[in-house]
Amino acid sequence: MAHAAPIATGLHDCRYAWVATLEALAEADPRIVAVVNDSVGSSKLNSFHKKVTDRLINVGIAEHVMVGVGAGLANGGRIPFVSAAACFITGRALEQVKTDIAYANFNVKLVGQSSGIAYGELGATHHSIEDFAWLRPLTNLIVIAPADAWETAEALKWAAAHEGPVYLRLSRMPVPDLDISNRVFRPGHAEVVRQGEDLTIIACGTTVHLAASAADLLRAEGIAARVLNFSTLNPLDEAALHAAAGHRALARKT
Amino acid sequence: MLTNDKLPLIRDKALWMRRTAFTMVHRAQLGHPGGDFSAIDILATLYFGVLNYDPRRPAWEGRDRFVMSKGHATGALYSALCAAGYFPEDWLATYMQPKSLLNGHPNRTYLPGVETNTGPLGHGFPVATGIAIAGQLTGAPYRTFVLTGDGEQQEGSNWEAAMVCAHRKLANLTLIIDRNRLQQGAGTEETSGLDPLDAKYRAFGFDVHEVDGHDHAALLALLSAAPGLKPRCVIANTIKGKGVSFMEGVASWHHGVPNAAQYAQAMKELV
Repeated sequence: MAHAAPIATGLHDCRYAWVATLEALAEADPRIVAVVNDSVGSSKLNSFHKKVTDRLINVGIAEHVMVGVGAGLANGGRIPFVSAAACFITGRALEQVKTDIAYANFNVKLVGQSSGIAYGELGATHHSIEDFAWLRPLTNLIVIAPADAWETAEALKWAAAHEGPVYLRLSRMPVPDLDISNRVFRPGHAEVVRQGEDLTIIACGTTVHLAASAADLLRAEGIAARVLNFSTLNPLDEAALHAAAGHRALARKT
Repeated sequence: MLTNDKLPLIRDKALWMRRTAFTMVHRAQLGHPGGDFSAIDILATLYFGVLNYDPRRPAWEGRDRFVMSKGHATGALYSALCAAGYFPEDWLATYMQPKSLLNGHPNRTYLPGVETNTGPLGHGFPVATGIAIAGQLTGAPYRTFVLTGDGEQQEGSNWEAAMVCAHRKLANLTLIIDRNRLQQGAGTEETSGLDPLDAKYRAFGFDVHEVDGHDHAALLALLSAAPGLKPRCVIANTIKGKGVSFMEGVASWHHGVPNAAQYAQAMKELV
């Protein structure tokens, strides 16, 4: 079992939810395999490797073959979770993602780790701020950026059961669990994190809890901000967007 | 049945595939006939002498896989799949027409018998590697064959795949290289040289064989031989445009298309 990293109380590195969920899924379904580009440690897959040794396929530092092998494993009836730093699984292997996974519609789950500017100190080569723009237009590919540990686990379980390609955009930035009761993961639907009719803040991934905090500050000033967790980026919940666009205009004079 | 009993069938199918592919290209005035013709004897040998498949069940888990990495050679691939019974002959007349299932490059999501989408080069070998790993993981006895062009070997992804194949000892995989020594506009050795290709694959951990890629008997013996301990690499020495006098060895027939007189001449020769 993975242990929590020494981070602030109440915050979670969602990679632990990722690996715990993947291990549980793999133990229940022998078709599930993991494919990595040497990123066993950064994908937190050491314990997965110990549990199901032959089902961790490390192709070495080689992203093109990593994604192609994912497609081939799906052709052979496996359910591969291909995991690597988001900047490389998308940017480096973009044509393989487009042709071998999305266009060919193989049942492959791409998992982008440490996305956004989670690797801030490492510089722009390791940032993954383009991946939504690159992957959202790809046919068949469902794009999900979970907001917290709970949603990470739920999105993984859903992706494993879904027949078709999915890109899961994960992060290493510690985040709190969103304080929403009775949550149900609904892919393709924006989740209401805060109710409000004055304006809407749309967020995804590790920025959702920040948007919720901003809405709480606004509320103290008498402004009711709705916060939507758009964890599914493709397809987009257009109905939720249209509803938000109907809000009354909010103008303040200073 | 002795494997040599299959040779007359392979010969007949290869001839039919050449005539069919050239007719498709002539009708569409689009295509890649030079590379179709260098590959057709390899595909005819595979589909009518080597592969275990059932065209009525294209998703049958136990099928042998053939991955056409040189996806532009759809004249060869579609004529082979049609001859193998995956779809009716009248589909061929729609080649590259709007809304046809027979695109310029193959799409697995709607054309039965296509194992993966190809077209951009250097994709088929990595996918075939994944197919072979799946077979190794499950102990499934199917074999995986992948055909790349030779110019295609300039794509680095092939060498990533080669390392993985050797590391995992994927003896269930056979890489076939259509060594016609020509790429789109010039010779491979004038462009970014590949030789010595055999020594390269040997150094990468493959069991390497060279063969005349138009010799059905030699191809059949090699491709139907039981797997050994290593992944296999078959360098098939071929002639681009093989079978038609004015096309053989001429680079411009990579994506050249025939006029009426050239089409008639080719049909006279392909008998």
